[in-house]
Amino acid sequence: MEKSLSPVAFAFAVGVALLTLLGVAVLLPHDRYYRYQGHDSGTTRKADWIYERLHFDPAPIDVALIGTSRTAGGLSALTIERDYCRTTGRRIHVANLGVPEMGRNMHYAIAKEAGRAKAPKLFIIELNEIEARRPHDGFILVADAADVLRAPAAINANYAADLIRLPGRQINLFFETIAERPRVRAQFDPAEYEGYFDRTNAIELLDGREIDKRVEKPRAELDDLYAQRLAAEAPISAFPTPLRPFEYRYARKYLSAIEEVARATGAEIGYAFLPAYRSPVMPPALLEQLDIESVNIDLGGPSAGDASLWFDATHWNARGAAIASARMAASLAKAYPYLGRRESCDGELQ
Amino acid sequence: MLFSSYQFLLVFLPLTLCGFYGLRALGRRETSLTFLLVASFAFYGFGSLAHLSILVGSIAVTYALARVAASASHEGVRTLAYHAGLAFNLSLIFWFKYFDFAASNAAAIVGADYTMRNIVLPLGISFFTFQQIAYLVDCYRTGDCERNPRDYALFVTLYPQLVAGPIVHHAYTRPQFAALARSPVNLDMIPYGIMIFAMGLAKKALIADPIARAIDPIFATTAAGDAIGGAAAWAGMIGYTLQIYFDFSGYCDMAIGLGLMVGVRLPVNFASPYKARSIIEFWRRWHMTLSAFLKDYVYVPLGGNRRGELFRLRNIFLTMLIGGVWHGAAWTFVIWGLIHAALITLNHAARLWAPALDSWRDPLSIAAKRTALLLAVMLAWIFFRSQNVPAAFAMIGALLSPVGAAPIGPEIIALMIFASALALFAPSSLEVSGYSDNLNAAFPKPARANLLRPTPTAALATAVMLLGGIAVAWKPAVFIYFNF
Repeated sequence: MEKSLSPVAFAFAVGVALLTLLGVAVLLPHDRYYRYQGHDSGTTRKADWIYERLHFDPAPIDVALIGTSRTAGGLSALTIERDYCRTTGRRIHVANLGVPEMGRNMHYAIAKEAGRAKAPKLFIIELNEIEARRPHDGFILVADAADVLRAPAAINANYAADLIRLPGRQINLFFETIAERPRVRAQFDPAEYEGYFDRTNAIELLDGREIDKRVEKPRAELDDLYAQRLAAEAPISAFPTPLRPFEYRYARKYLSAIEEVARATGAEIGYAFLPAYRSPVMPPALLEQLDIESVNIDLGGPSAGDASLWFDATHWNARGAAIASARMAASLAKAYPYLGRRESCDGELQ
Repeated sequence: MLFSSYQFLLVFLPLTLCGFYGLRALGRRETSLTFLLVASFAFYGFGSLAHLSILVGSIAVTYALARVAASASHEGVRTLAYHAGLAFNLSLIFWFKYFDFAASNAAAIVGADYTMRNIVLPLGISFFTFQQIAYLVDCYRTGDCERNPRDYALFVTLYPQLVAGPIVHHAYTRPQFAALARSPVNLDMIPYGIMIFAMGLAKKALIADPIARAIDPIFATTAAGDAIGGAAAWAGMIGYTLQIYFDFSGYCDMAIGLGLMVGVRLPVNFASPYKARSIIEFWRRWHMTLSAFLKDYVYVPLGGNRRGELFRLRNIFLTMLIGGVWHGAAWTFVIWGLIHAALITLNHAARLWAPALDSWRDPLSIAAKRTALLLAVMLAWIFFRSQNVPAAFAMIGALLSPVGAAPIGPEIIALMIFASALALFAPSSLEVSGYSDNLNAAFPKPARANLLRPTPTAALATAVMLLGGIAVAWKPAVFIYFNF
């Protein structure tokens, strides 16, 4: 009969064995396409399309738009490509890689995957009049295991949660990969691929309902939403002075990580201000906090106060998105007129 | 907080055990119990602070009224406090659990409009309310009640049993809390606590949850009013029969394991019910503490067997029906309760008037009885699981329809076969660990070859089961009994 352990020795043995197994679990390999299908909320539902655009769509990427739902639903890649071509005579490929909700760790994860797969020539990073102090909740779903482990632990509300969920994610993805049973599809299916994934005219909710954005909201309704947004917002500098250097450290860390990705692939980085309703200007104090010298694409200005362009307090409606996309194309043409290659603007861009 | 969630497994549990044993190591045994109480409140409050305030309020009111009901010098005051306590607890559960159901049905009967209030049910309200009602009745009957408010609150809220039972009598925990306050924990319990907890977690995470994910779409199809084939109906029925077994069995093991980790034994609540040969035996094995509660606090007050056999059968029927409705405010639960009430009443009637049936003990008869019982229980589970009554009838109708498309994959079929073998033939986790809820019986028992022991192999197996649980815990599914 095998010898029994003392209670303390048994608990210790279980602990050591469990920690070893958890460590091994983190190292388990898996198919990253499956990982990008692990979305279980609205915020990361677009992740599988992003992976398909980066890895299966043969079109190159000249401009990668990295941002939140303001980018995802407010900028039309096709419009930008067409207008840029008309202005410069050069054909570029734009990928709208915006993912709902602000969180620079998510932007880094997406930029890294884009750099790895397509080496875009230009990353356009979205800036808003506010900046999240929290990381993105979807980071654990799409980030590399090494990035989850290396995430800054201090001032990171999700660090512990992400870390302890990581072994489970790895084990599940490992078995999904072995069994070839991912959440959505095992193989890329061109018939299912959404092409430009344009959400400027309509958005699809989790329950499958489609919301038409070709609407104009009453100004009173938007003003109400604006007031609610203001009431819920913290000031740009909410931390006491001695702690101020830590306030946006998390965002700064990932913005500089994106710059490293760009450097490694020889890409440029541009910062685009995407406003909210009645917030026309990127606050200089926030730029300073984020260590960003200047915004080179400003989509704010008086139009931010035009109620006929807004779907809600932070998102353009279809008309607003069309105007913003045109302005983005014009700004790109002005600041980066050398992208892509000289080509006719006929054909698919019509 | 779910026992199978990563917050519980990797944060709450280690911190709580460290705090509890850290304080005891410093000689602060009383404080360690207070710490357990605070941890239990944190466990509950993690889900909703509003519901925590309801729990705290319910504890405070019941404690105060029970003190009066037990010790007031004037009999009228005692009785008044007792009835006020009963009314308070019953009102609480009625408001949160049954008001919408009762009001919407009453409105339908009189042809009036009723807008559902969609009241959010505080987690475990059915359990902590019943536990407190039992306490109140006992206090009133015996004149003895808990004087220490901390110990009373800990009796109600101890996190291993707070949200889904077992329903514990105060007399069962009282001597254990007293012992914890004055003596060291029996450390030999801890390895068994860890092993039983790990087995429960594995049952939940590796058997119940995968089956649930496979069969949920089948029930969703019938709920949407769409037709399903015979294969899907059988897969749904058998799958749910196994899912609820391993979900609840897993939860009960985890509760007992967690109790042992802090030196507290909890009553056995689940004892291989699918091995039962009759519906009477089934209810002595399934949710045993609820059955005991219903017997002591519903069946006996209704009259029990005091007015002859017919009244006894009536009382059994009503008690089981109340047990059914306790599970949820919906017609599906009423029908489920009616089925079980009818079956158990028939079983008692058969024992009374056809005792020969009970004496059929040959293997063939036993197999026939077990098969008939299982089929009846499985059919009743369809009502328990279905979204509404038409969906349940649609699934029952589909059992006899053409096979149709294969609804589940081969790995789930294999898992269901394995799970069926465990449920029908294997000894339970409590049997293999030699667990006894008799506080006068020694536990752990002296080492025997057929009993689980804390060996290095067992430590490795435990770690593997915990890993399995953690793997699933990154997106955990709720326990079925957390809904009641």
